[in-house]
Amino acid sequence: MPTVAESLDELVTLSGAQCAALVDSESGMILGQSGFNPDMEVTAAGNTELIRSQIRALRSQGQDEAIDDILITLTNQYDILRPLKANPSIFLFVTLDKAKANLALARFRVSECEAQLAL
Amino acid sequence: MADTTRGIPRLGRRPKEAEPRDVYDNYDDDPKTSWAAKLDAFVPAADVKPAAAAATAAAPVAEESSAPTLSDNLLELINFEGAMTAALVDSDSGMILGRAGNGVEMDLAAAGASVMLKARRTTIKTLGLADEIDDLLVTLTSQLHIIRPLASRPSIFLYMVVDRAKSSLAMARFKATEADAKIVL
Repeated sequence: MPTVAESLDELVTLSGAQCAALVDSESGMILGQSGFNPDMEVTAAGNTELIRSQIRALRSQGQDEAIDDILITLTNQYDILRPLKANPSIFLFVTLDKAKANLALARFRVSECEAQLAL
Repeated sequence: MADTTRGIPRLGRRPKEAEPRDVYDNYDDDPKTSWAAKLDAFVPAADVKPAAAAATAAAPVAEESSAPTLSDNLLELINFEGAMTAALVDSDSGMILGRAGNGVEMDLAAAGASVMLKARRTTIKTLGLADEIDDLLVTLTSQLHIIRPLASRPSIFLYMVVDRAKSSLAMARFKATEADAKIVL
C-alpha cells in the first residue's frame, strides 16, 4: 500500500496537475502535500469551508447521501475535492491547469488514489 | 387621506368590494403558503412527462411574447432523462428566484450552495487571483448537483439536481452550460 506522500506525489504527476494535498476538514489543517502552491494553507482552509457547508446542507435536509467528490471549474483551473470513504472528514484535494488537464482522467485517478490511500 | 379629513380613522371598516377578489381569493391562507401553493400548481409534478409539461406551459406564453421566460428556461432545462430539479438562486441572499421540478428540498440546498460559492470566492480573493467560478459539481451517493453562476450575472447561479443512475456528470454539465447561455432574467 502506498503511503500518503507517495499517493500525493503520484497525483502531481498527472498532466496539468499543480498541487495535491490531504486536508482534515474538521481543523482545516494539511496532513500532507505535494507539488508547488505557495498559498496551500489558504486554499486548504477555503476548501474546508466549502466541504463543511455541503455536509451541513445535506444534514439539514436529512438526506442520506454522502459526498463522492466536488469538482470546481474556474477560469484557468480545475479543483477536485474528494473526501475519503474510510474517513469522510479528511479530503484529498488536487488543483489542475485547465489548459493542460484532462478532467475525466484526473477525476478517475483521484478516486483510484483515494481508494488505495492508507493513513 | 380621506379618512383623516373625516376625523377618526375607521380601522378595519373598509368596504369589501374595493379588494380585488380574484387575486386574493382566500383571506384565511397564510400569504406565503398560498403563493408557494400557486407556484407549485404552476410547476408540473415530477411524474408528468417533462416534454409534455414543457409544451403545455410554453403554449400560452408564446402568444404574449416570443422571448422565453424564466420558468420556460427552467422547465426546458429539466427536460432530459434523469433531471430532478432546477432553480435559479441569488448567491448574495441564498433566496430562490425561480424553480422547476421537485424531489429535493431546494430552499436548504440553495442556501448551502450559496455558502459554498461564497467560501470559494473568498479563497480566490484572498489569493489575489483573477479567476471566476465557471461551475461547481458535487457528486453525492445517488445525485449530482450542478452549481453554475450565470455568465451574464455571476451573483445569480443555476442549481440543478440530477439522478446519478439515469444521467451522467458530463451530460448534466453540458445541459447547465447550454441553459446558462439561454436564461433571460
